[in-house]
Amino acid sequence: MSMVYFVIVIVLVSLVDIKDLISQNKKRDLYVYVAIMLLVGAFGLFYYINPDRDSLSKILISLLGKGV
Amino acid sequence: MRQAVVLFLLLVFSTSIRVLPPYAAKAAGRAGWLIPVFSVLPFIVLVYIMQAIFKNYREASLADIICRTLGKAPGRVLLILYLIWLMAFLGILVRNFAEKFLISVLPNTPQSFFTVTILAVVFFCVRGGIVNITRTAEFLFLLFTATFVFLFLFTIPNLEVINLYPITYYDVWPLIKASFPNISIWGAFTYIFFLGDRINDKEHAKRFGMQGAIYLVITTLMLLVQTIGVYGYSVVGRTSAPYISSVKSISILRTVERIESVSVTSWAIADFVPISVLVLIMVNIIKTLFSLSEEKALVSPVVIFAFIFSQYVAKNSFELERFTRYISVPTGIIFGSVVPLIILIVGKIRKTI
Repeated sequence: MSMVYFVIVIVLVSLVDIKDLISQNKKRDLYVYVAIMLLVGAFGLFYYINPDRDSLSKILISLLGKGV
Repeated sequence: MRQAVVLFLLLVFSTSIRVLPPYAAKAAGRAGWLIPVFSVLPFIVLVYIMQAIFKNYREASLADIICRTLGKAPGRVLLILYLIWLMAFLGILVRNFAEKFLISVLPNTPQSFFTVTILAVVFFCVRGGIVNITRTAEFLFLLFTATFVFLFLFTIPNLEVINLYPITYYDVWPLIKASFPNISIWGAFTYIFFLGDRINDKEHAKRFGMQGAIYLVITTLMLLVQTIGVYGYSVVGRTSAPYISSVKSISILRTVERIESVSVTSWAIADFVPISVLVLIMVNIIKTLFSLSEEKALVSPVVIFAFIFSQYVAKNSFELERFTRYISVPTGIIFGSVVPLIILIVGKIRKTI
């Protein structure tokens, strides 16, 4: 359910921002914005597909050999 | 510049309250309250470094200076590294905001409720521009300082001198080691200069930086005395939020008690500003990296990222604490204190600073 809310928020916010950028005719800003938003969206989907996966903290600390 | 230092002080204090007391108590025992005395020297050096870097670039931001000093490609690589670190830092701040409510007054509330609330407020405020944030910060800074001082004064009857003394010369080395998280947190002074193009009279960075240093030493001493002095280092070292616990111990004339909600509120106020400032800094870095003209639109991806990262970074406060200890502290020292020194040295060698 959280993933659905997340996608709705991403789509709504993107639509508002993209509309704003198009009206100002800022193509470079638009491309960068879309690229960053896609990356953020992908990161969000990666998290919501399995929220119980190991956290970043656990992964990094085990890489450092400190254990959790 | 004065307003920039106020932003920095709120950024520091929000982190210090949570991170410093347990770390100081574990690493330096009952001498832990002396940490700020040991960390102020590196901070003064940092103030001088920033003053030297901006001596000839009064209208530039740190991102512009990095690109001019190191060259376009290495400069951009360094900016991307700063961006990654600040994204992580922002996620941790947002998560800490939620954790403080969860461990103090609202333990059974979903964590995302707090993160969504603060990020929604930040989203609308940051889109209003930096002027709104800085003016709000000035007012909130006074409010926060007044609350902090009053709570400290009310805690004085609960202080036990035995928890703070004796201190011997054997405590010097543990104190130096325990100063690292403080140096890392105070290194946030560097991040404020990413907004350098909007900071006027940077020639006074030294003066305001020194005033900030005095404020930091005094308030951090108060924070550590208030926590270690009330419960002792062995308890503080094992507690998640010792500051709130020490405020819980306040009893005014045995009638007014349990006023920790006041400290949680003021702490939440202190959190709003750093989160907003970090969002602004990241937007500014992205703008410089891709040579963009519009920054309002970039606020939304940064805020959404902060929400996801705050959940992904750690599953519980134990993991968060370990992340802070093993990753945030050393990374904060590198990006806050070491990199500006390297930029200054390279700039002097290449005669760009």
